[in-house]
Amino acid sequence: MSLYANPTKSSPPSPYLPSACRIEEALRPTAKEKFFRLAPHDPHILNYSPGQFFMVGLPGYGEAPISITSGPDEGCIELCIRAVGNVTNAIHRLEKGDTLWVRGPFGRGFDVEGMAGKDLVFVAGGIGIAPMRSLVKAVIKRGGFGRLTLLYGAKGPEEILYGDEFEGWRAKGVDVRITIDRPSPGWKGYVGVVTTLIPPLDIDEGRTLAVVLGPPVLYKFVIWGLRHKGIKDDDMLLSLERRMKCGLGKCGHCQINCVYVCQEGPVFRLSELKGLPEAI
Amino acid sequence: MRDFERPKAAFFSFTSCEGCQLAILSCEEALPEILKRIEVVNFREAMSERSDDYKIAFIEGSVSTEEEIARVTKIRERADFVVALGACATTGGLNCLKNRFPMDDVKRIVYGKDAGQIETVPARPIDSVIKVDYRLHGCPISGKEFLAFFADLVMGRSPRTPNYPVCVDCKMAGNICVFEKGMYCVGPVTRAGCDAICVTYGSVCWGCRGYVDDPNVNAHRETLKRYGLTAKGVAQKLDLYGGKKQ
Amino acid sequence: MEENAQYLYITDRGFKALVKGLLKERRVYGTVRKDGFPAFKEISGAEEIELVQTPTHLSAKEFLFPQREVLLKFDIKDNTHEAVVEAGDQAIIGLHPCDIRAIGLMDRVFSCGAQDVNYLARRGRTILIGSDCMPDRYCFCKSLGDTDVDSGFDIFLHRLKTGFIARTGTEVGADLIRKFAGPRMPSPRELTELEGLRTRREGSFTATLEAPPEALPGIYAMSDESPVWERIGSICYGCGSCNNVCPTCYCFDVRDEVRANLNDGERVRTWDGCTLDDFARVSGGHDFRKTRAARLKHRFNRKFRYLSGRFDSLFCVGCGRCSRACLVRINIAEVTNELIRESYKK
Repeated sequence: MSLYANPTKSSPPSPYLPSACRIEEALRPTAKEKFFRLAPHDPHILNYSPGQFFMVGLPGYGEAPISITSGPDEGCIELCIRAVGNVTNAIHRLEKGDTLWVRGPFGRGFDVEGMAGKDLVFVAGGIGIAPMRSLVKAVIKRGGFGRLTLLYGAKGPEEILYGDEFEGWRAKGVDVRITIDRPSPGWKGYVGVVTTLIPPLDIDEGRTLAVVLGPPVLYKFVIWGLRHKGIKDDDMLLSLERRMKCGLGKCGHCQINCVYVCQEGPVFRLSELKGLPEAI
Repeated sequence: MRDFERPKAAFFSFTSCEGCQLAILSCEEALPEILKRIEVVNFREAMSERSDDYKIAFIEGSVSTEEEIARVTKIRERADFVVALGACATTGGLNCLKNRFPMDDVKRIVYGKDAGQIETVPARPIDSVIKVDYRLHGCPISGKEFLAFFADLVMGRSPRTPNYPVCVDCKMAGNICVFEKGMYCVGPVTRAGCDAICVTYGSVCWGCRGYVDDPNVNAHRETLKRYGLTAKGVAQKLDLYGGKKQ
Repeated sequence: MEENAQYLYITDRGFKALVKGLLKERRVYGTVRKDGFPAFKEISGAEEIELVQTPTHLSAKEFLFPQREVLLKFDIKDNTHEAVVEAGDQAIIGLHPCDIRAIGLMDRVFSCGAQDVNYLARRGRTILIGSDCMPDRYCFCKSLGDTDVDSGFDIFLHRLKTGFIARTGTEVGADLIRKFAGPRMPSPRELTELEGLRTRREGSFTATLEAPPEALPGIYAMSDESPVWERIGSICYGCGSCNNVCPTCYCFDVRDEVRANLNDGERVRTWDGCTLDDFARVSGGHDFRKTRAARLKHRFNRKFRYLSGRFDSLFCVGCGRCSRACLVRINIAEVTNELIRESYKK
């Protein structure tokens, strides 16, 4: 009697088995981040929407949840990975031609169709620009929106991500405004945290959706600023970061009150987070 | 697979029973693999050659003489990475029991008429003298944890130290709680990683791995009293492994 | 006796024959006394089993959701992964009604959404045999609804002075009884004895909740700001014992373990606990539930509120194991009653 029987052919595949992706391109834009463009062996996983994430891993190091930074239907997966732990540090050592392993896509992303026709204000802090890029690209590609404004705050000029793409976005009608936290030699743009870009905005609060992506500390202040501009909680969308081990709604790490971030999120309307005191 | 570098490592013994070095030597099957990845230049329990050229220093034992203070300082100067090996090195260990008495009394009790020639200072963990980069806890250390640390070191992962109490390991091992059996232990405030072997083999947790990062010592003091220990008994229970640091 | 069609009588010898029969084809876990206390343990002979009536200190979840379980094997050099499903035929004997209800809840968790093949494969090869219980001072399943179960098991045994009344919950269970235990229809006297046992048990509960189960999610929803959390948080160790002994706590950690050759390894899941430090800490260092009070509140809410919408059930089965295991005497029924009383004042 074997205790190590393999599942029968009819049983579903293990949801923990990752699928291989070849690294087509690996770039290091900043000291902390690295960009990867991946070609997956299994084309099914290309079917993702902005705001969703993959569990990205390496054998021997484990997995970490990473949001998608490429637009949908681009035929590849692009990730922007910041080295903050064992998994991401190990991934940073990979180069073009190496293999990265992913499971997903997981979670509820942005409903781009449902947002059509609205004015959009994108507010990104730090690495929040990575998932925001996916959404901005999807919005540009679809078209049929009102005014598009991107507010992006980085610590310093050397930490700005996707800086070379903003001109292209501006050409497509996105008003891109960038600020850095502290003055820096040669920097002629805005200085101050990203929330300082909100008050001068001319917002038609009846037809505006705001999308906020960034580190946990960002949310409270940005939400406060947006509410002051008359934007209702129902019209604010944000994405929550949590520890995750499975992406399947089982391991319990990403649970906030009643919700599993990996299932009902990571994208939420602010109004949905009412009654979830642990959310932000 | 990328090639990992093969760093030079040295093992040193201070005031201890050298049981932690033996715990490493008893990882017999893994030793050839380990030696492929690190070059051992100093290991008193296993080899006679010595070298002062090393990157990683494993230090076992607590510091209990002026001479040891000087020696451990020298090792720190030479090594890039210092690992405290076992309870004596990480918490001071059982050696700290002597700190409960005046040093002159300790010398007289242990060495009798020769006491005058003995140099001793209160025993202490090595990080009270030098900076320590990583701690392998336990009396002795667990071979399993040593191997995991070795893998982390060579593969470039930051080593993980369990930050939960022995109760977790104990429940996972399927043990009946020692308090149910009418005994006392300090497992609820002690760092796990030992698989609760003491309890599994019928004893209690003595606290050899030191406190977890955020121990609820007050709660445990109350628990020990509630189960019948006197205040003195409680203090001794919590202090057995000496310099238990918060 | 149509209404008693599912009730059969088997002798003590019939029970032993059943266990023996099971042992021939599968691993068998049963209740025993370990250091004098009730516990589940793998057994190799029918005589080892003692159908203990009070709850085991640890639940039976480890046989379906082991403390440590391999999900994948990998080879770093070859850059390959292989899914691993460790499942074998097994039987668990001596489950109390609360244990059986807990397994039903675990079934829902692991089959909801993505199928957790590791759990489900093992569960599919497990025979569940229940047996009667008698509440101790921590048991409060009666306050959460039924004290008995009528499904979720293959066989349920009620111990009589001699022999057992066996109820069968599945065809597999009925076949096993027929094949090994030599059943017959119970006599009226035996059925009366069973009724007496049930009545005695119903009257033996001392711990009770002061509100009906359907009111509990609402009461917990009103209790976010309760001073109870700070008070019990101040005495809690954060030792995770409540999580580990709980038959419905299913949170886990996943990590990679590599052999000394630094090439072969396994992706392993182990039990984790929401009351432990670091459970909700993200890579950047932010901890979403820093205090023991916040973590305890999370755990209690998971049992009575957070999961009730998702799985259409409370996630506490009233077994009292967490209260029994808690060295600082945080008692789940007493805490809940305190919240109930606070809610009446509001």
